[in-house]
Amino acid sequence: MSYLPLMTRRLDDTVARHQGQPITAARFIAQAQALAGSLPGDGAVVNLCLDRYGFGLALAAALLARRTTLLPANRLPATIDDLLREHPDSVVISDQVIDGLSHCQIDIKGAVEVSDDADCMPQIPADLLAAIVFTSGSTGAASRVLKSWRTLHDSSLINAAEYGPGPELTYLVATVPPQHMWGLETTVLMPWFAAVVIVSGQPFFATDVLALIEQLPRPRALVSTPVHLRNLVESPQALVPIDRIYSATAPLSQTLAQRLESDCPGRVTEVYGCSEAGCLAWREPVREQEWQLFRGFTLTRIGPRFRIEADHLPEPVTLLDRLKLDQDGRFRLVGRDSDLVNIAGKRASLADLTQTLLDIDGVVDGIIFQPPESNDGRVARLAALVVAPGLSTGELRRALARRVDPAFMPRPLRLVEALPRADSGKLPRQSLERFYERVCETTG
Amino acid sequence: MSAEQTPSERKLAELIIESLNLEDLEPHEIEPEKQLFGGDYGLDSIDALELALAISKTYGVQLKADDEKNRHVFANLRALNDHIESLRAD
Repeated sequence: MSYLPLMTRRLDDTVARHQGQPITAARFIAQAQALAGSLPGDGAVVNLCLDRYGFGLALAAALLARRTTLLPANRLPATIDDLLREHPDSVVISDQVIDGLSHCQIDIKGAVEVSDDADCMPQIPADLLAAIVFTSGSTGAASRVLKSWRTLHDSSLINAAEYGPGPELTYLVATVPPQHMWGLETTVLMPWFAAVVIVSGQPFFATDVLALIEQLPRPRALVSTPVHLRNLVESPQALVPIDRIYSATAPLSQTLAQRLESDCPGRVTEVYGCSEAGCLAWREPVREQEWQLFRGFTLTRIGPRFRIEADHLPEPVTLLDRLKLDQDGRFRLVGRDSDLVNIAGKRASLADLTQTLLDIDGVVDGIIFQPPESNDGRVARLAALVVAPGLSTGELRRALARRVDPAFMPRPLRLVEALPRADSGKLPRQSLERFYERVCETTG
Repeated sequence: MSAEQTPSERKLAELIIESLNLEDLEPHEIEPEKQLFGGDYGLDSIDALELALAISKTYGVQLKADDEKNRHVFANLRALNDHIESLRAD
């Protein structure tokens, strides 16, 4: 059996800043070892920690205990219940008790109180199934992505070399959750493999983000998304210097990138990836539109799609986005398969979402779709047109909100008398868009 | 506590609908003490960000989420409105 280290940092390196205090790798590992020792049974770990430091500890503890970490696509009670039904012997680690969960829940706080230091770097079996990442946000069959420790370890080293902030110790603040791939790779794993100190917490409003960054030594970096960055730039407060700004999950407009580079000022790097392959390309949107593939990855055209391969990935991954490949190996993104939508970094199938809508009592016909984009830099939400004679929009919204991740809640949600279906029963995209435009005009 | 909106709550309800593209909702349908985020209105954290930005532009106050007390201000329309008014009074 081959082993790979939990970290490539030195034991006395600072890897995190938690509650204002620096945490060395040795302290972090000792805390994770304590947590690992307290895990009952031998099942998987459902990591629901909101705080980034706690999340990293729980992930490390699971690795040390040779357990798989399960990462649900969201925190909806229905999602967690389904997951626990499928993995009845798993334990939940959380930093906030989740009401109504009959399952065993471990509070992370006990581990954080440990004040010992580890004296050697733990080795993790390379083939350990380290994590299962669930990607579907809607009710259909959740797709699962399996990550061995080798995959996470090697992709972290590639990420550090490709877009890491460099040799100087950099403080990293993030506005993205640690559970999804972008946050997991860049804010949880990167500090284990690069000269990075992750700052715990998840500052939310522009005021919080700026206040947290301002108290950190430089160089400092921000890991974020176009939505959070636009919010930061449009906020009336003055920006503070941020040396590196990272964005992923949706395309960052060149205008926004330019404003960030001139106002912060800081260098803006955009990263592209997907849950299956992890981060795989980068660009600097102020200076270029083309993406540069990370070393070690290869792209192959298979019909209209592209397949990505790398030594550390267990199998080739077919990308959902459509690409235009240049002669020098750089590429542009030119759209994606229409059934799959990505909103705020979460993925769902429109067909699944529409089925969920149709399953609601009283709904006769309906569709959830992506309206033409407005390009104002805001998150493009979905829209719904529904035929449900006995229901009000309020009742429909309530019924949907119980079944659908808020990211995919359609707005507007409009009641109509009938959909413009063709005789075949099909709903051509063009008729749908024209009809939707008219509905929006007449109801304001 | 009344389930009726006060005039300032109505104004905030209008801002919520306008800034979050909730045109299919009428301002009076936002009940003052009903959970605003993560509940029946189907609003998420991105909506909270959009709303905070709209509030900072309209009322000239900055919302923070740095402690437990501040999480509570987003609980419902009334709590949010009270919080904005207390910030404006400072």
